[in-house]
Amino acid sequence: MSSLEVNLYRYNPETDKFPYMKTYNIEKPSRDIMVLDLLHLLKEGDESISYRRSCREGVCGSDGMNINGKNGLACITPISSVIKKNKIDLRPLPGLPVIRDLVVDMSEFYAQYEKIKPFLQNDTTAPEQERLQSPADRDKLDGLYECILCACCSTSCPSFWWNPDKFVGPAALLQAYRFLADTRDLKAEERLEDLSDPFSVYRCHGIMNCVSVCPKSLNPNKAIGEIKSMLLKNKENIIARDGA
Amino acid sequence: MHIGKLYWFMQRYSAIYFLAFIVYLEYLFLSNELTYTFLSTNIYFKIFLSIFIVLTNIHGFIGLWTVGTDYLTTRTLGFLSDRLGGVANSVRRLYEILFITMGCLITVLYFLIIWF
Repeated sequence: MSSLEVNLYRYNPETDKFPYMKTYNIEKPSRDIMVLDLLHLLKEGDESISYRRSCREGVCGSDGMNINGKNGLACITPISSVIKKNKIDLRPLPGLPVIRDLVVDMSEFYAQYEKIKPFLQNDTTAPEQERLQSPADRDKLDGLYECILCACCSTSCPSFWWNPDKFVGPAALLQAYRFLADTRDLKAEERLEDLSDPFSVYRCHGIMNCVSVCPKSLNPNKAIGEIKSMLLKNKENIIARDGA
Repeated sequence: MHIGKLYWFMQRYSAIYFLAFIVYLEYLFLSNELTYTFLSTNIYFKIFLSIFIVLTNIHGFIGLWTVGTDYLTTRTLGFLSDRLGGVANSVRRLYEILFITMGCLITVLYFLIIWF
């Protein structure tokens, strides 16, 4: 049975001055397994390896990492799709501070998510049961609400690497558009006002790394384009849409 | 108009103008009208060229400002050294002053050449 070389990013701030890559040689599994399963195998031999995981089926978004240079979810990435010359390189998500091994500090990512106010804002009296939408209006939210906030897209974006405190990033912008496109939300004008500076949205140059890596096959770049269109339209159009 | 929107429009509109101006230059070149006499006497050409110079400066300013705010920050220069990261804002200011001054000088120089 052939062996598989796994190069793993290791860093323990308590014992290591600098991060380093550690090579593990393990027997290549007889069947195709996911990268997360591979990490479990490694952890059986070295319990000090740290990574996040939870649902192990691509729903929770905990195990986003850089696999052979491309961000993805370890739990739904088969090793057969990433092995190159019998080697796999595993690194933490780029651009975020590393806490330990593959575990990153996602505070900056969540701060941007918080900034876009990811909740429905509607000041009108709530109906007895629920705020209804037409099926056509509901369809506008498809491809937007499915984001699991794994941060694979934002951490593959150079604009987010350079300005994580100012550029909102593809994940949060996808969510921003999710509420801008929602006909039940009445704060489009305020939302756009918050995004109108030169950094929040305009720092996206459309290189589409976000689209390339999204494990849910979403298109943040398209959503960002829609936001830009809304920002560039007349204020009156937005107000008319909101019925204000 | 918000500054983000203004920058976005200026980048696009100036690029459209550049394209139109280059097509105009090509036309002049192919029709053998691009002579020194024409360049130094045609008032419309002088106006188009002056607008081109101003827009080039604006286009360049936005582009270089973007590069500066991407790569000359505490975070990015901090990758090279902690000390450099600590003075990143001053480095960026210096860089901005430098390219704005250069832009102004180039504009004045070109205007002197075109109009005097």
